[in-house]
Amino acid sequence: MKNLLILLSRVLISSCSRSPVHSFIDEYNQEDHTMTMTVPGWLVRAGSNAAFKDMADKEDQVGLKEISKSLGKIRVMVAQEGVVPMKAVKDLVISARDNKYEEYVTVREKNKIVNVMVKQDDDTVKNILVLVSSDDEFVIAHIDADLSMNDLQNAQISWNKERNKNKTEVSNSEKTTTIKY
Amino acid sequence: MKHYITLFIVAFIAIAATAQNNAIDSFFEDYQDDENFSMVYVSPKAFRMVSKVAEGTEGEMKELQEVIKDLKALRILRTEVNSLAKYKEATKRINTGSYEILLQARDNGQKIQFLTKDKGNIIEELLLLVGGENEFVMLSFVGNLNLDKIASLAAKLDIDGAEHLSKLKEK
Repeated sequence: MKNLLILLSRVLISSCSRSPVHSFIDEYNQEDHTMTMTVPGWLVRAGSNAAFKDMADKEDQVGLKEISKSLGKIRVMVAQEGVVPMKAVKDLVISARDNKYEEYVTVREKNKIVNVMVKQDDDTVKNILVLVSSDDEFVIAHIDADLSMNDLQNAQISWNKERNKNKTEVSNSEKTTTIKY
Repeated sequence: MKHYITLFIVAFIAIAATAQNNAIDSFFEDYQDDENFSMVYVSPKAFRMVSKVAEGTEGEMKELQEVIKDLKALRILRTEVNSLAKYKEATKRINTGSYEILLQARDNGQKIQFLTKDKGNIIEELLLLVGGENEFVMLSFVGNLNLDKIASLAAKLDIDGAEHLSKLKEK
């Protein structure tokens, strides 16, 4: 019985603990000079068609549409005027690592750092965390996803198809122009 | 007794190899947070993902997939501050003697060294060191490397310091 209670309390504690990323956003989003936006998954999927419609690049449009099908909630926070200190960002990266996020790409240029971290379940991307931080500005984007390698491959294939189609159209129009002359 | 000696030699080689990698790791760790340095790190997982995504594709993506499928990690450190001193520090801390010199050049007052570590016919690590009055670059590629492909990757990478990789084609 005692063991059962311990197990139950552990399960409850783990289910109640928030992700360090959400806790971090919640901690700073009440401060001045911050802007937070949460876009629910259904809106991401529904809105992707409209959002990508005006994109000049057709190839990117097709690829992004494919990917957006597997995206969930997106949370973005922009903080200015040094509201989020660099030390806090470093601590966030460490907590994210402890929560099974893996660093994919890190780029630093002078005082600006970009981190891309990904949480995966086997070959499926479950969360994407993008951090852009400098002395006075900080941007965090957290994306819930269920993006398998197949989804990414399909997006790539669609992108390629669209690209080849465009190439064919361009070469056909060039031929027509030549005939006219 | 013979077994003990063999074991000792194997252990010594393993420790020496680890110490070598640690020297590079510690150099990167020391300067990755330094604001005078630009830093790029691409993890093995990121390479694996891009490679998988590009599987079965054609054209440019196929070329890219060919290049990165065997890459494990890429790290670049670059600075314009005290560049010559940093170059000297790097060559002192990293025992470059344990690498094979692939290419050594002087170009406009810059020293350029391409160092490799191989196992049989496979190059497992490529270390590029560039040092001069104006710039210090340290680039480390780990994986099963094909030098021609790495050189072609250089053209695709829009990163300061990576342009030195194109010199591999001249080799």
